[in-house]
Amino acid sequence: MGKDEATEREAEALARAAGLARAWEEHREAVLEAVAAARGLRTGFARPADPAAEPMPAYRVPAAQEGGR
Amino acid sequence: MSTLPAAPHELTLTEAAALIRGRRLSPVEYLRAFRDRAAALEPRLNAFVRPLWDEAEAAARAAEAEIARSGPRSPLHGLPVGLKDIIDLAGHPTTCHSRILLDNLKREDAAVVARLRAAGAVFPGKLATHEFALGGPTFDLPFPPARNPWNPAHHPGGSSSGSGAAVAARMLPAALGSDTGGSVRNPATQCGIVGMKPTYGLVSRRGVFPLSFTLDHVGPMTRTVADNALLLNAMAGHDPLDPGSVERPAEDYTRDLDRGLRGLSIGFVRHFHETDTPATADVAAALEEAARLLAREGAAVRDIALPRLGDFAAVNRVILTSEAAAVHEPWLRARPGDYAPVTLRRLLPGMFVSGVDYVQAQRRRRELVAAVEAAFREVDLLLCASSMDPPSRLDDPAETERTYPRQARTPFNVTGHPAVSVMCGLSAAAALPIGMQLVGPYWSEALLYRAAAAYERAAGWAERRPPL
Repeated sequence: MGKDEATEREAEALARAAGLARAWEEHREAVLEAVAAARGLRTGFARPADPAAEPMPAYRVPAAQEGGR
Repeated sequence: MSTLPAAPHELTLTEAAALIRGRRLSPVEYLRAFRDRAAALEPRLNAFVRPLWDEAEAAARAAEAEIARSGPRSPLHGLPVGLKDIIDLAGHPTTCHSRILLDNLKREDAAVVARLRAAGAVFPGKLATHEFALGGPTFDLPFPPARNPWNPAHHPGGSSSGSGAAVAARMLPAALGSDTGGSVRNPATQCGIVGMKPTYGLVSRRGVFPLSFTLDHVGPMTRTVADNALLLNAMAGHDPLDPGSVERPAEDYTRDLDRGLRGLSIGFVRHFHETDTPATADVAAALEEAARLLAREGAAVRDIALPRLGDFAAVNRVILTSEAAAVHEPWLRARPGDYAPVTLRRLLPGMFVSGVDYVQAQRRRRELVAAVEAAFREVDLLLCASSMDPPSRLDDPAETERTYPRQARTPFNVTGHPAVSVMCGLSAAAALPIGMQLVGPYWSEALLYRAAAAYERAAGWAERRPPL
């Protein structure tokens, strides 16, 4: 299996897993480009070195509603 | 009516408000001047997707009667404000410039529109955008792309394209845009007007079609800094129904417009446009001249470093595409062919970004926020580039695609700091606008307007107008 064919198979599997079967059938080039773009974004920024670094925004429980129990 | 100081469509919001208060200008006369202007120019500029002049004129007439009876409700009473067509206006569809939402009739105003309506503003039209505030300028949508009044062969910037074009062309004195990766400041830069992305949480997003929940901002677009501050006065305010809205005391953002630059320190983020994403020579020269002028006017200007632009851009992209894909998931699955190809290409990557990558981007985001906050412990404001290139030609989609990400606006969507774009030059080759950004600490909009107004007075670029 050539590199292009492997890339296509991987993209098709990802697209179908994401519920994008129709996009895969009708807009294959756009899906291939999107898979490559997502892969590129993964390495586009430095990961925090501290394993305890919190994401932003922090999760907070909603403020108590007036009249609530 | 007595003689006006200028043709009505040349009057700024601030000037018109004073004349209306003094009974020297009628809101109807003011609106009609823009209507006439739009009738002459709109066929070349395509800024409006839904003109609403009759409805606005009826509202201006009602405002005129109310002002005659009891005086203006606010400085905006009877004044026209255009709305990017992702912002709900009761009784009209919010199409997002997309065939997917052509019949998306809205029964209620967006919260920010309700605030402006309460202040007495009137709404002459819904304005062109990139599809869902994300696609690019393209001719395969229900409405044509807006064009740049400085040269209609060129892109006016996006995604608040119609807002930028209409204000620069004097078809409207003011408009609202939205800004997720720079979409207020980009058309402000490329059309030579003023665009403010306020602090995240200052202006409600309720009733504005979401692109990316944690990056979306709504901002004012005007010809002058004073008008921008005036409009933000009416737009800002807590909305308990917007989970991102912050409750703060009301401010008058016009209060320091005349205070000048003396005593302010400004950090020039040169590496954004010198090494991270090298700007064209025109843009770099305009920024250097702006820094010199700010210093001549009394600011202490020095270089300052932030994390590299690429880090901010990638974090913005991961978060934006993931959150946008969550909004669009059902349509991406069921009707991908109903998007313009450029929109589909920009939305689809979000379907392939992993949950881990999204969380990593949000973790890196906190570090980036800390870095910018650290800079504001050293200086009062930041100066940096907006676009690295002058506006591209609309008939050159490859050039638009190349230049689209070459910008320094996304950092402040990632961090939520307020940032204003003002004109700082014209390109040598094509006489198209160049803009710069001033960026401030959270909730420092009044300080930003103070600095931007001082620059505007000293530089004189606001006096320049498109050769229409």
